[in-house]
Amino acid sequence: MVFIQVKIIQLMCSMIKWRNKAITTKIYKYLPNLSILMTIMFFVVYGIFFSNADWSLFQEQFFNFEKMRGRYHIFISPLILILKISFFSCFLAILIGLIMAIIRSFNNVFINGLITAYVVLFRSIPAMVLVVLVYFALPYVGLNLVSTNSVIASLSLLFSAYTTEIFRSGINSVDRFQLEAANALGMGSLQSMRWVVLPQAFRVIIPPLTSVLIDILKTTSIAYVVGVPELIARARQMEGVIGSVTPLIFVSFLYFIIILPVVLFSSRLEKQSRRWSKN
Amino acid sequence: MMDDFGINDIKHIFFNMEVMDGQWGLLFFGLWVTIKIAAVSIIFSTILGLFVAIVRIQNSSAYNLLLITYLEFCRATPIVVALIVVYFGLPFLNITFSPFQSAVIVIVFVHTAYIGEAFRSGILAINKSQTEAAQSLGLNQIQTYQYILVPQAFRIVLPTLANQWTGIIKDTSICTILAITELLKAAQIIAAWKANPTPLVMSTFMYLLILIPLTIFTMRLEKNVRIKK
Repeated sequence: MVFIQVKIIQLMCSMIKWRNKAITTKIYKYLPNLSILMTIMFFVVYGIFFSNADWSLFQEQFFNFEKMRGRYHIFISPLILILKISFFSCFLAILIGLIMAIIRSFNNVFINGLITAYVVLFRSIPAMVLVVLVYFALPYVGLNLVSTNSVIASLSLLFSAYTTEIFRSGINSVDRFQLEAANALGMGSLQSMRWVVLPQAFRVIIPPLTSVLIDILKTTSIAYVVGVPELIARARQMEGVIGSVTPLIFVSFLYFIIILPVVLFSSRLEKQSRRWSKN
Repeated sequence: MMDDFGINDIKHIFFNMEVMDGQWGLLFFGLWVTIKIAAVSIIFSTILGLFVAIVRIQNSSAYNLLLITYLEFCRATPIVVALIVVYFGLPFLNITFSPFQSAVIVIVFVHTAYIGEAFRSGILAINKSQTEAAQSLGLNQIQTYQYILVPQAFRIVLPTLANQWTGIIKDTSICTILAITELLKAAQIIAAWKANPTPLVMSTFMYLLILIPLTIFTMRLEKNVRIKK
């Protein structure tokens, strides 16, 4: 788009033999902004006046908040459920990841191989497949998990692989001399991990950890498949009752509101950590 | 609960090949559909992501604002929600997509943002003098991207890109919520019919067969990058 518009302006300039360089550079500077404004204007004008889209239908089906009136309280309990699921799976994932990373830092070849196999396995299994497997296959051997618990179990298994990697890179980022110094002070390996390595590693760990949190929040939505009464399930029920897609739009808006602050926070953290690593 | 199960019982339940007799066809059909969705989405999102990155590098504030909004929107929207809105919501407006189309549209829409960001950081990582050298050689902007920047950026970006591709293949499994018989759905159909979880286990193995090599490849690439630094 930009290229085409630049080319068009160039052609026009050459056609009218415009030699004034100052004006031309000014046009070049504001050209992309102007062009995107024109593109959006084009679509808006086209959509309103010339296409045969039915905008009243759009408003009625997608933003019909009159029909939703008095039904908002239905979304409170699934919202809390989702936050609960993501909290517990995040907590468990961080716990497992931390323990595995610490075990891995002892450099036992056999155990390290096992942990690497675990990480590879759970990094490559799709979340949906694991949730379905845990919920639909385990009951055959008598291991009945409530749907919410099965989602928590599979999410914490999945994301513990990522947190293991994150914690490991964090521990690796701390200088080895620090460990030796801690040993010289008479600290055991666990003690030096607790008092010397981990506090320094956390600076490296926190930004990727927030992106894992975002992923967990997003992945809770697949709990819909195993019949957890969460936001989407409720929205689809209500969609059937009131005959409009507004609940779905409302739910996606809710997700957006929950996740967006974390996203903004994490991108700010990433910028910060990039600045730190430069210094 | 678990203790009255011996190894033979587990074999009988999870690896019961008699259940799979005559059912492999459906499972492989599901695998084919999954591969189709994944391949189409990977191709489209990579190409579109490259374009998004190139537009973002032009540093025009309006395009950047638009594309950053798009990126944050994609980072904050679960794929399940997007799929349901596209597949079950848009028909209310008389816009109907087939399950395959809506799967591809949603996956491409979401992953283009991530891949674009990856490409942008890759192109920005290339030394600026390269662009200047290319321009002094008389290459125009498109040629600079085509011959100088994109090939180098590709090498830098490859680990992230492979990661995103793995993510795309994983996300195809979410399309079970649509009426499309991809691998997981096929397995679920057979499992429900035969009342045995063997198909689910087999489908998991198929996913792993595709994804584990990719993951190992990605991890190795990441390690290489770390060592080179």
